[in-house]
Amino acid sequence: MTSLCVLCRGSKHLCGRSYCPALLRSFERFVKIQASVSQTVFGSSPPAVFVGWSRYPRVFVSIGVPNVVGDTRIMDLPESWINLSLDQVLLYRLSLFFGGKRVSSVDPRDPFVGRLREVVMSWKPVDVEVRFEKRPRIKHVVGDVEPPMGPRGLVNEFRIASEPKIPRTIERIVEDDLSARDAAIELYLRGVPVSYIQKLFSVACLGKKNRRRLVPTRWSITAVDKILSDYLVSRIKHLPKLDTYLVFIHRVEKNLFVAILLPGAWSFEWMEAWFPGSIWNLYGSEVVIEGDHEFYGGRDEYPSIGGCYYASRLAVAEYLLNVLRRQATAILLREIYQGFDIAIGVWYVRENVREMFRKSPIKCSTLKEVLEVLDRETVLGARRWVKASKLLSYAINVRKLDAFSRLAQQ
Amino acid sequence: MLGCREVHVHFRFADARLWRYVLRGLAEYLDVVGIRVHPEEGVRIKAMDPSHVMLVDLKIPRSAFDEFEVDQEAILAVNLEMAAKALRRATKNDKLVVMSDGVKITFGLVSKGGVERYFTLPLVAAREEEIPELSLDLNIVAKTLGPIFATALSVLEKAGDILKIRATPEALSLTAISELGEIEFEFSVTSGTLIDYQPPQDGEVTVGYSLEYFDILAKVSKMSDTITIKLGPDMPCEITAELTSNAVLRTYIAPRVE
Repeated sequence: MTSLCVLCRGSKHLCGRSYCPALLRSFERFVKIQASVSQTVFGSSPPAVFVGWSRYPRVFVSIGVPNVVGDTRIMDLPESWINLSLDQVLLYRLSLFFGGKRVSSVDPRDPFVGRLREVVMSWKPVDVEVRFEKRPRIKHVVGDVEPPMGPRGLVNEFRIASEPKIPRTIERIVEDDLSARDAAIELYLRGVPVSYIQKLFSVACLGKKNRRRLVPTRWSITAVDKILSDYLVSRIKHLPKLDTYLVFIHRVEKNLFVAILLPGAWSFEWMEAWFPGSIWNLYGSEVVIEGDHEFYGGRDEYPSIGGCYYASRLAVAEYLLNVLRRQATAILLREIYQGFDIAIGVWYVRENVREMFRKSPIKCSTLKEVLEVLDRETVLGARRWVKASKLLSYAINVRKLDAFSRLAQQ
Repeated sequence: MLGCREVHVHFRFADARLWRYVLRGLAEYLDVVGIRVHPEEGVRIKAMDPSHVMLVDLKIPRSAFDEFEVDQEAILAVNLEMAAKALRRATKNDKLVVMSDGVKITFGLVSKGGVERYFTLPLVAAREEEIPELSLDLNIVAKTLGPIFATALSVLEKAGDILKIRATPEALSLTAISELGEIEFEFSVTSGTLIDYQPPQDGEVTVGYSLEYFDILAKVSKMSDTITIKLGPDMPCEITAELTSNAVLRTYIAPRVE
């Protein structure tokens, strides 16, 4: 069951239950918040939006509003959460009330969606009043892809009380008839935060005019991470190869992130080790390791490990292209220890990998030294990681043809 | 630099699938490949993956083409992803027509019924990568039929990540190993699965390879008449697929060291 949890992460019901016991545990801790929920909420939306994925293509689209007026941007900006404690992030997120309605994702011309889109395009928080049909309820507080969420319910009335501040660049790109891919890249190159692009993508602001769709939040997060990292990787492939070994270490809240950059052409691997007592291995007695990889040509299939694959790939691609200016074989490992029993969303991976690359690397001159660092810094140790990691195993076990060339033998 | 100017290239090959398999397989590892065309020698595609674990060398002599018009030697550098996309619907009933003026390249699929589909791509400017000449001492030689080898590989690929090739005085066995178990195929002359076999001079030899690199072979072997496997202790393997009209695909894969 434990390895099933790592693959399922509360979304596929692989254990046969109709609910996820792991998510339920997280949920129970926050039920008390429900007591403070009223039927009308007036506040500044960061802006925040949520598009559910159940019953797709009839999706639940909702706007997130806190009971506060002012600069609430931080409540829906994962890029600025890296220095906050998880408690603070949860507090922000659970203060957001999500009011919405079920609409067809293929027909995003619904007037409610139109007004919601205006709010989402705003760079600054927008004052909004939401009147719920009945008291909103907490459903899934946390998820493996999307950030934690507060109470939600069907909306009766939705009023925009201040003018959305939409930057001209955003307005122009949304008005243009660009493909969703090109529009997302254009926004990214203009310095728009990834989480903002993901929201625009979700509420059908991007894409060819007649083909725009509402995209469930969890899909849009992964889609944007993939689009942007694909673009960066295509540019990385033109860079010279790294000629040394670099190891990055980052410890945070019962998590250890490790990045190993090896000399060679671009290839990438993301691996997670869930220790007993961590969220996707709550009831297990052994460490469960899962991961996915790609060689130079990329992948054809969606990685079984889920959206964190592309979130980490984006972060490593940003570092290789913008800072290191080298292509490399990037192997990213994560150990999740007992006590980290909350599914927080893939932003946690993206932002922590970005944070890791802001630190100075340990430079090694041989692969043996890299393995020594891995032995020293990780709980699992080098031997276990090498056994689990395809790219590490390749680097150690596969010889190169150059060793058999005429030149090498002279 | 790869690329050329003002050339006239026009040839027609009987089975478009060969090109589809080779270009699609190479696209897994490379962005660009150089197709060398020569008025007398025909066409050659020689490429190495960026990790330098696999080398692919496809030679198609002039005589293998239904039509062959090339006015001078040239290298046509092609974006592999686009070329693989253009050829992804090529079937065994399609002939392939390739045309180039040195600036662009056109792949045409001509079906048995005469339906023609043409895909024109720009040629790309790319620096030619130096591919080392290998010096290998491979004493073990086994020859089998293409479809038999293709079937074995397609099963082995599903079973594991590592391929162990073991040569004994009597037989050659291919074993795929994974955490869940292993599958073994034994080829021998007595069972009729080997056409010819030159065993190791003393004892037995086992060499391991990463199965991932056998993907092109698994596809191309289906359409090849014979497959020749050459091995040596701790050496790369050389696998030669003999194709229609003397075309030859030779693949070298570096060994694993456990």
